[in-house]
Amino acid sequence: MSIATQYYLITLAMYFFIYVILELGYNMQFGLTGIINIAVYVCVAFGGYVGATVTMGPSNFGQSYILGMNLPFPLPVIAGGIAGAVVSATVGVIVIRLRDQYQAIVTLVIAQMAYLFVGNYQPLFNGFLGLANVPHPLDTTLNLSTLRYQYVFLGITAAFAVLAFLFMQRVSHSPLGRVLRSIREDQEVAAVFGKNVIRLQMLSFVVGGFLAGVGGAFIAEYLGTISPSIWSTSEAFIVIAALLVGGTGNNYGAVLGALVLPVGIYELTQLIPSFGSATDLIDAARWILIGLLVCAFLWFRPEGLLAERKTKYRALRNVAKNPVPLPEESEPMQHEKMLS
Amino acid sequence: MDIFISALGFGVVTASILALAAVGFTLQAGITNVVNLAYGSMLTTGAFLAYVAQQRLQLNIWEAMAFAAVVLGIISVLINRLFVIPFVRRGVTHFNMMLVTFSVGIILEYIIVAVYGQTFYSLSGVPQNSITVGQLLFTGGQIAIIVLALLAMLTVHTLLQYTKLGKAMRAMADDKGLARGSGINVDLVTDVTWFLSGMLAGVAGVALGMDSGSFSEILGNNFLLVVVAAAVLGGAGRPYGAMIGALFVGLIMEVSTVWIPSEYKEIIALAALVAAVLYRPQGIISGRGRTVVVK
Repeated sequence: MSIATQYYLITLAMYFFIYVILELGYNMQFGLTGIINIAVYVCVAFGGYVGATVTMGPSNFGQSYILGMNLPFPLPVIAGGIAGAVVSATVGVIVIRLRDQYQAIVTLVIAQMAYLFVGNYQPLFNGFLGLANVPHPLDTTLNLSTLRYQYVFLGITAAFAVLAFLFMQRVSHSPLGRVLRSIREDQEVAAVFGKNVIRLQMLSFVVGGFLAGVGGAFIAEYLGTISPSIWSTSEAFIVIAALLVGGTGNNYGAVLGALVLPVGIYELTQLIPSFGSATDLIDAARWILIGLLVCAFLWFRPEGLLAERKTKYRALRNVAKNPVPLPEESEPMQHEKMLS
Repeated sequence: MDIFISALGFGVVTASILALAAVGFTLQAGITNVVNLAYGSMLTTGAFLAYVAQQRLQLNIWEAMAFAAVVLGIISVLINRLFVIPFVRRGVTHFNMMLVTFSVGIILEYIIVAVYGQTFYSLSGVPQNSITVGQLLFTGGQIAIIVLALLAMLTVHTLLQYTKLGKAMRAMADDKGLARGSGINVDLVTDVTWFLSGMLAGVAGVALGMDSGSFSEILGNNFLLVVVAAAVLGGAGRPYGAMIGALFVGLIMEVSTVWIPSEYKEIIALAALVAAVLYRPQGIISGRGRTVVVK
């Protein structure tokens, strides 16, 4: 393989693993618990910003930002995750009690407010200019060639993605996962059974936000830059659409969604050679394709490529093996006898 | 005081554009119970249709506006027939319906990008002469927008209160099943509603394009959430509320620039929306006991 192809494949794989982390977080919030969150990318962005600023040192080429620190590697990712969780908690306090259309509109509005605020208030994260020159983690300690370093970074991201997947599998098959699903299906019923619905929804929302923040930190550190232009509403739409295509409520679906939509369509269409003014055309074709794909999936396969499996419980399975004998057929009622 | 007065003038113009857009948005949302997130792209389409009419058909700005309104009305009905009605018949969830309309919006927006690219365009023949009303200074174009908004509001009012169609629309907004039961042709009224909503979006889009001087494919989507804010503040689905909401949002947006930098004025409007949903979901003027389920 030529070096250029290797770089290209590494980029694709990076996007895949980062989106796996994002989709798993979003699946926890929406797929498992049923909370609508169009502000999902705000957590990603704040995770990215904080993950970047804690490695950029107190000052960096005259860019203005908060939290200038020089933390060693795994800490920035954790810091990004915590930032995502904090943002998520803040958004959650506002939206968790709302439902359906109102939850969607308010999260959409919060995302736009955060975008405008971060963009215009320069002291926070350098405004619309964004942060550049974010150091790559472990670059100086490992002292490898650029290509080798890319492979190492890819390995680290993949490890985090696998970890996140195992964690989420564990959660969805635990009693907690079952409670969250019951909240998704019917909040009142869950509340009647003594579950603290609001607290559980907040828990799920914050854990999802943590994963989004971790994903954001990887984005910032891989690209070496992060600015408001990479987290508009359209990016949130990609995350939402990918889970829809992959399979809502299913962790394998989240992984497949990350492979099909962000990587498959969004990145592979960049392969199409762009000439002159046709750059706009390719960009446009890609978005129109995504729009049509979402409509098509909502029409033909709303449960996604990998539908959520219905859980069968051992106790019920035993009942199925040794069915409780049904009561004997009772005698027809008196008046029916009289009729016959 | 001088800054305050001029901010007030801007506020009235913004409120007029908002009123046109918000009434179109809320009329359709109230009667068909579908949140149309493609509305932002529809506003953009309106401005571009007027641009096309000016370039290709040599129409003046008002004829171009009328052209944009009618064509966008037809596009709006097509969106309803091709995307919305089939999904409504299937009983899709509200959130999935929003995803559908958002997708339609993205498709519309990027069709514009595919044809016109991501550059700026402007409408020609917008009156620029200055007119003073009391202490407020306006351009001819701005006065025209204000008059147009007042006319449109009057038309919507007459339609809703004094025609049979308006009565049918109000009946549908209250209870669709009951309206169908009493012999209203629900499908026809839905189509007419989408057409009207599209026409208002066309007029509002052209007005927005006139007011902002130059515009690109993001014109309407940048404005969409402010429109939603006006509609929600007035009480979702209530045209008269939307008019008041538009006035409120338009004025607080522009007047707030007296005290805070103008970059943050949209945040003020959006914060008002969030506050309204949390504390006054029935809108700032609550009508006669119409229940809104928010929880």
